[in-house]
Amino acid sequence: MGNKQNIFTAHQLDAYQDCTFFTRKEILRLFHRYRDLAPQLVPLDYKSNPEVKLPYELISSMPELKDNPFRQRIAEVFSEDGEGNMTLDNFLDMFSVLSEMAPRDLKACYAFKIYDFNNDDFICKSDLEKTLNRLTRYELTEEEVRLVGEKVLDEADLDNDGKLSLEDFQHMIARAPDFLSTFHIRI
Amino acid sequence: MFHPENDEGCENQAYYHSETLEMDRRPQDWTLGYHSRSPVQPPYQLPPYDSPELQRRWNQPQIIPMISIRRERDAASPRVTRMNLYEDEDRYVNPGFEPILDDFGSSSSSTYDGYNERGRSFLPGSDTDTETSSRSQDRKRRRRSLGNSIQVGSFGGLSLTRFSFKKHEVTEEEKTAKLQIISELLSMSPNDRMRAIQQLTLCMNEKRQIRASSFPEKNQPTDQVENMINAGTQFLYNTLIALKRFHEIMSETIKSIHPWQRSLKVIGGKFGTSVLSYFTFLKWLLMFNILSFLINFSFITIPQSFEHKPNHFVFTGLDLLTGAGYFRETVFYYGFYSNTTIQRNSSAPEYDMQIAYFLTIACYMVLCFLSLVYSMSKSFNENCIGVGIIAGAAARLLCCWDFNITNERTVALKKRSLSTHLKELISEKLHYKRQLSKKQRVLRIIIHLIAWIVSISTTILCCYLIHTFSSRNFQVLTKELSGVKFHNEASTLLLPFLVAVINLFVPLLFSFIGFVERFKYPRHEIYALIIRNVMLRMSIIVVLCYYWLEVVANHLECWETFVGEDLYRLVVMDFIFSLLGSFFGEFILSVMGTHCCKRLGVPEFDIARNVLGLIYAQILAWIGMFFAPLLPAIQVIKFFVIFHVKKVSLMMNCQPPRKVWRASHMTTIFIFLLLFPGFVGVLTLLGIVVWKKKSSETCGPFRGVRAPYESISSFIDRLEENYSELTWFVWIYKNLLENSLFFFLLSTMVLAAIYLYLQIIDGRRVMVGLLQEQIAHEGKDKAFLLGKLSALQTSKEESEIEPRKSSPEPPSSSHYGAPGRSAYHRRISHGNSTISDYSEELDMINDFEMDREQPQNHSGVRNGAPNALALVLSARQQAEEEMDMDY
Repeated sequence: MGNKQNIFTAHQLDAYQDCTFFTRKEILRLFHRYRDLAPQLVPLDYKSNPEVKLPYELISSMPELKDNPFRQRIAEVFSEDGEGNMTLDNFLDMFSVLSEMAPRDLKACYAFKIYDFNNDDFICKSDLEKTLNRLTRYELTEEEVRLVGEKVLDEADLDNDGKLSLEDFQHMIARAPDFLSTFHIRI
Repeated sequence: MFHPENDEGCENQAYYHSETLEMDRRPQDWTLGYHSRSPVQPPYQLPPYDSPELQRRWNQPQIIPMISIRRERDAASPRVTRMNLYEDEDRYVNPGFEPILDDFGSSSSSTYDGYNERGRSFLPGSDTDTETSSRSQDRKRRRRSLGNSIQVGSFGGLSLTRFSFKKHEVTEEEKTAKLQIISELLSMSPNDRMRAIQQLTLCMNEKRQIRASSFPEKNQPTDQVENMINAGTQFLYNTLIALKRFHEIMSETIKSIHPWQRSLKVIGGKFGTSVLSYFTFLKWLLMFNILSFLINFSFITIPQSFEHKPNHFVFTGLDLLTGAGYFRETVFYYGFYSNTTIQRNSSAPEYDMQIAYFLTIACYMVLCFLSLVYSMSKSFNENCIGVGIIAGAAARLLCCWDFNITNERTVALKKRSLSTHLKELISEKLHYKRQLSKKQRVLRIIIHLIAWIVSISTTILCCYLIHTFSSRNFQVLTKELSGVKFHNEASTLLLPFLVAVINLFVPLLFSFIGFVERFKYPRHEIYALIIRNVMLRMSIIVVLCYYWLEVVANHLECWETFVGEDLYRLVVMDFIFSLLGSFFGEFILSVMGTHCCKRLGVPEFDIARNVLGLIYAQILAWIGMFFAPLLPAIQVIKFFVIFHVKKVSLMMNCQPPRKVWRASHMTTIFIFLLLFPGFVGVLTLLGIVVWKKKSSETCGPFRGVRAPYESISSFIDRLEENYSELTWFVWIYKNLLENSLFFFLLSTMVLAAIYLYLQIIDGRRVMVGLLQEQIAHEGKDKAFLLGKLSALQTSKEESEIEPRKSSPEPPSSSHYGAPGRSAYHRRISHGNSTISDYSEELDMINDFEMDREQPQNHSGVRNGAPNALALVLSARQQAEEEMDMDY
């Protein structure tokens, strides 16, 4: 490798730099992380934009995601096909949003998507129940899950429509200062 | 409006980037993008930015900054129509001009606020259409799809988030949105534009497309660029590129030397953000000390080292521990520095050590103060304002997951702790008020009281101990000054040893008391622990300061050096004991927990105690700045070692914390503690030393003056005599800095400003409450209107079916009309103080109800229902759109 890299053209790297929060070096590092997942699938030459897609199973085997209860949702949200199969672009997108530099609004928007299991643009009761079950390994009884869900809606649903919209969610995030540091994956 | 200088303006980059031009530039794209559109030919079929002519038009200003090459450029692109457009501007009617202005107004104020951009981003599109019939159709269609897809295109983190509508609508909306985004992007400066692109919530491909159209200059192949500009410009251009590249490389290097990135990742992955906050705090302090070391070293130590003095002492191993002996006559301590001016050779400029010493310390303190206040305010702003109003289950559930964690065991632990937490929360809700009995409450208060009495008396006892011991020890020391040197040196270690022992064990006692006390909320336990610890450490430091200023300063010649040595010993002892503390506190406990008595379990990392230890160490280092200018170096080494030792100890011995720890909130508190009792106390102490204390006569930079501050006054006098051109400086010094009235006025102004801001904050709080109420009401409105609508629909269906059955029933609408209305009135009267939109809605409701009632009176339901339905439908749509915009 050395100083000159010949994976991307300068133009491609420039575009990546402008579209993500990463520097040149970080982009190359991420590329290698991506390639390490499946060296036989990913070519070392990306100049012609090869159509490579890593299946969800490989993506979720990354140590950064392996134990994350939301790994499937994360992969689904960031992949273009919605099924967790990721191209390099999706991969960079994902870590860009989860990086330290990403602003709160951007993170909140993607966190909202991650928690919105049925993709209906609202976090409704069933979404909350799924979230809860993932967070607690099914240790709560159904009754308890229902109660917690009600309490969440009670606190965060400002317009009383029985579900959390993106605005409700962002409003809530604004009051949870730890969110910025916890919705963050170091690479 | 023909401007002869128009040509010039076009060449001038500054003008080209000015707002007017951006505005003028835009209509062309808009006309292409929007107005040539017909339902048959969607806008993207005619890609405005790919057409060669337009692209060239975009490119010119970026690469042609000089007038000299205008002709070449004109020759190169003869088809530019721009000038013509300007020259007959009075005749030229731009159909798309007005809406563009509108749009420009919205994006020129572009704070990237998603809320502002939301809902508005389509407006220009829909307003652009004039009254032509085809366009109004277009508009209707767009409106409809707008209703479907609340929000497609806006940027600043919120765009294209919802693709829940049908496919053909997606493509159209998407394209409109993309055009919208691009046109908004183009009105920004390149830097802002890049940042905006980074923040788009789109996938990479789309981002890249948008970038390609909004950075046209980046797309052009470079050789073409080179053809168009002459050598001088090319040189300039290349230099600019080189500079930019250099900047990029620099920032990359700085990022890559970012220390401990990997360690932090590992710690965060295994223990979560809460423990990580200790290490980031440690790193921050380390940076502080490196800065102060660099300042002191370059402005005090290096100049002084030009003037060597012989060292009478022989280096022994014990000196490393005591800091005395050999070190006494090195640049390490105050006493070594001279009060003369230093000159490398006779022609070199003079360097006045006295002034340098004073100003360096003063500047560093000011710098420290500013950066502390800055980080404090930043952290406070981010973490504490508005937090705590909702700190309930919701935030805990949806924001709690720590995406940092990558360790399987930690994940399991975290899940378990979360579920217990949630269970507690629900049980609180189930037995809502499980009040303690009166007896229990009294008992609890008594326990708290006893705990406080015990901890306060322990603190007082410790202070008394240190006080008596220090004065005794000092007497012994002064008596034995002529005695055995080794014994003498060793006995100086007793006081730091005592202090370190107290600092190690008393906090443990406090933790134990807190454990016994059993607070209702864990938060309170942490606060009590922090208050007690800070109280203890602060009073110890106060007693020590008293000892130094009253006992040492009055009895010893060259007392500053002695104090410096004492501080060195304290810092070193603290270092050793914190290492021992992590050995005994963590290693032994974990060995015991895993092998001997399993009941104890593996210990957790006590964040609060450890951070308070760091704060204490930093306060010592700050005090030491004056007496031992190189103490920050010791501090740097100490923090460096502590970081690694703590990391290893954490990895080997500890388990992830089970308690909920609000990391960012606590960090703010710690920075505040560092600032308030810490830094302010140090400033007070140094103020006393500098203004009031008599400096020693035979050593140090301030020998010969009564107090260190006198040196500044005499310096000013000298300035006045020798340099007449600096009279303004002397004037400022005499009239402002030495004038108490000036400081009085200054502090009055600061206080007034603080008061003003407090009032503003209060007002905002009230406003926030009202707005929240309004949101809740509007939500209710929505629900109410929807209920009405569905009721109407069912009644309509019924009325359509029932006449056929010829069994007329009383119309069901009255069920909804009267009670609904009264409910509405009730609500209005409840919230009418702030809400102006309501009157509008009320009118709407009235219309609706009148429509409902009139037909009943006259001809029955059948005539009125369709009218009313249409009215309500349009009203609902309107209301929803308004609401969307309001958000």
